[in-house]
Amino acid sequence: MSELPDNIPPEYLDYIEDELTPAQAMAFEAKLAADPVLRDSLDALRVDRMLLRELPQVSAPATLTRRLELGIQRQHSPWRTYRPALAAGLALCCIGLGVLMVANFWPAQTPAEGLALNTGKTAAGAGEKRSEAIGFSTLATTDLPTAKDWDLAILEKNNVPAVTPPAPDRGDVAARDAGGKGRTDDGLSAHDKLAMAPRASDPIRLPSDKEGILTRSMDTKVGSLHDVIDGSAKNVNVPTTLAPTPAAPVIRPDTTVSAKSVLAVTQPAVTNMVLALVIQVHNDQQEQTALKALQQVQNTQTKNWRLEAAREKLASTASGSDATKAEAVKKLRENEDQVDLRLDSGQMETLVAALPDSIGLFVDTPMPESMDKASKVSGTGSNQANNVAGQEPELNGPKQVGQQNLGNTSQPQRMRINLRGVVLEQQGGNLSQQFQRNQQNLNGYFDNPRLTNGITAPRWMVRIERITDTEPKASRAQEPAKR
Amino acid sequence: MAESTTATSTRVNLSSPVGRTGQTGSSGDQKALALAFCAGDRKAFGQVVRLYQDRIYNAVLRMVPSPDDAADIVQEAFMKAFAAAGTFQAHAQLYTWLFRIAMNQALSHRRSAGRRKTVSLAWETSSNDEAHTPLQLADTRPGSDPVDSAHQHQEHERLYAALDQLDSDTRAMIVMRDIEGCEYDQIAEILNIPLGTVKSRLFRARQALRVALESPS
Repeated sequence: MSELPDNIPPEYLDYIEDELTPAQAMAFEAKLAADPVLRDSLDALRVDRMLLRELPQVSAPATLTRRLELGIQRQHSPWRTYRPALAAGLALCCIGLGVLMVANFWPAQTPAEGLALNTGKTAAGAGEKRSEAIGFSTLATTDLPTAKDWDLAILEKNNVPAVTPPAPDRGDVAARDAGGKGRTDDGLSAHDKLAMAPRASDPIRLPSDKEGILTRSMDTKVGSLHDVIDGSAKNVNVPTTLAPTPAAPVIRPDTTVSAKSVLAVTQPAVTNMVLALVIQVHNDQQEQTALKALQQVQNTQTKNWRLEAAREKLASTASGSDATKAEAVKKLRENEDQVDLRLDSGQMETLVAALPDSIGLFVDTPMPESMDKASKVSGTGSNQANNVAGQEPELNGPKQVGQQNLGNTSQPQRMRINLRGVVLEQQGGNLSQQFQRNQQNLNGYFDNPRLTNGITAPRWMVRIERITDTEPKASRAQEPAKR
Repeated sequence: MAESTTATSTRVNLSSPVGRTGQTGSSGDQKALALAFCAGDRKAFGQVVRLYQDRIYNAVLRMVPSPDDAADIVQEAFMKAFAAAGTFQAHAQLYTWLFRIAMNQALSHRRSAGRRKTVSLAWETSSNDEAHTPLQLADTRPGSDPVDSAHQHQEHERLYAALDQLDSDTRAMIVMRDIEGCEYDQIAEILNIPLGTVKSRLFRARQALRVALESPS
């Protein structure tokens, strides 16, 4: 860029910002005519400014208001007022407890007393505290038969009697083993018991997963989704209000399922998953309605994956033949019919509430591999290949986004839940039964960070699908799946 | 520059509204809202949030690379504003005051984060670092020329990349003047620098942006 003077004349800024009066502008342009380099430089700055002012405006995340509400509630919570006092009280309690514990266990921690028991000598004349040391020695000592002479030396040095009488209230290992011959009630010698006792170096063992303790939470999640699927098969309903974490859906057989209620139930079931909400539209009007609804929740987390890929493709064909360019433009137009967005749960709620019943709504979820093999998801007209491919960025990363994936049958399959008529689209078999059959695999799927991309909060990918090969039916609100 | 937004906030007394989109609602409504806000009315605060959150978020988003960070900064700014509502003088421009808090917050964030790159989780699968390039739905509407859209998109990408190369203060200049449309005196107030300095810094900021745009990276 051309050199500009350091002491910048004010008219430079005014010229760049178009704030000169007509007379001033004429005079300044005449001046610039004599210095084309300066004129070019200033013109470039003007263009930059125009571009900056044309940058698209984005909306704040829909969750921001809620976050602020929560923040203010927290700020005004009485807990905040009393928190320092409570914290101080708690700290004092902890200190007191610590002092008590130390006072109680201090004698047992002296090496002399612990070792006195390890020697296995007959005891006489020691007090209550001596017998308390058993607990420590049985857990921490591994060399009972190998007590050395220097142990005794330490005992003498610490004025510990050479022998310790059995504690009358315990009557356990050390007492009966006082002469190395005693037996406990279960017929084991003290030495046997010590050998069996857990040691500090032993690995920590948790209950076996077979007991269901580790997988119980996952069962609960899948159970919720399962409830929805079961309910959908019977065409029954779930609550009509959108609760953040409903405990259990209320089943009412005579009412129509609403998308909101289904989402309310499915959301806790998919805490670790990325789900896709598919909005199916048949005409421009529906598309505009859907776009308008999306604009309500639009934020910076929105992205049209396939459109991006198509744009890149178009850009890469700049020097190609006309046919290549035409193909790229065609692809771009095709992909404009589908918009992939990512929304959080709050935005999802807003979006679904804004969509009329005449627009199809589906939840598109990935299936674990075992379910892929067992079942295939039915197509939705010409867009099915794109549907499968379009999900991949969520699971496998950006490099596989877009056209490369089209028609790739090795990709994980999806199951699709129709939120309007609540009809499961699937080729053959009963998805509900398959769910039961593959529940364990499904748990594995939820737990697999590679598949879930390590996501811990519910996230939704929203897609608008333009159906061009069928006309909307009058009863679409009831049976949108029939295409 | 003063980092404390609350202590100096009462000095803001600007006559003209900030921003290229202008103020929302009549001046009477604005005053009533500002008065209620001053009094610590939570309802009024809610209205203020709804009224200004988009604009403030937009401005902050141009300052920080991640949408998540931008949302956090806006949230923090509003919380600070609410906490300091008593210090706000009702005859001042509420938006200017909020904007100032948010910009100071964004500048502090950028300085503390340095030039460290942060990538939003929401964009983790993006093929390139486009955390700051929100897609506009308008671009994807049927009927719009896809070639034009693609070209426009590329231009925006280039601008964002160039903005990313600027230091915090330079970037703040560009954002406040050319994106948000702040007046010179408002910028001087927010950045706590003399008016003349604003003009010279702004000119240099534009030059720096041009250099960044022309650089091959």
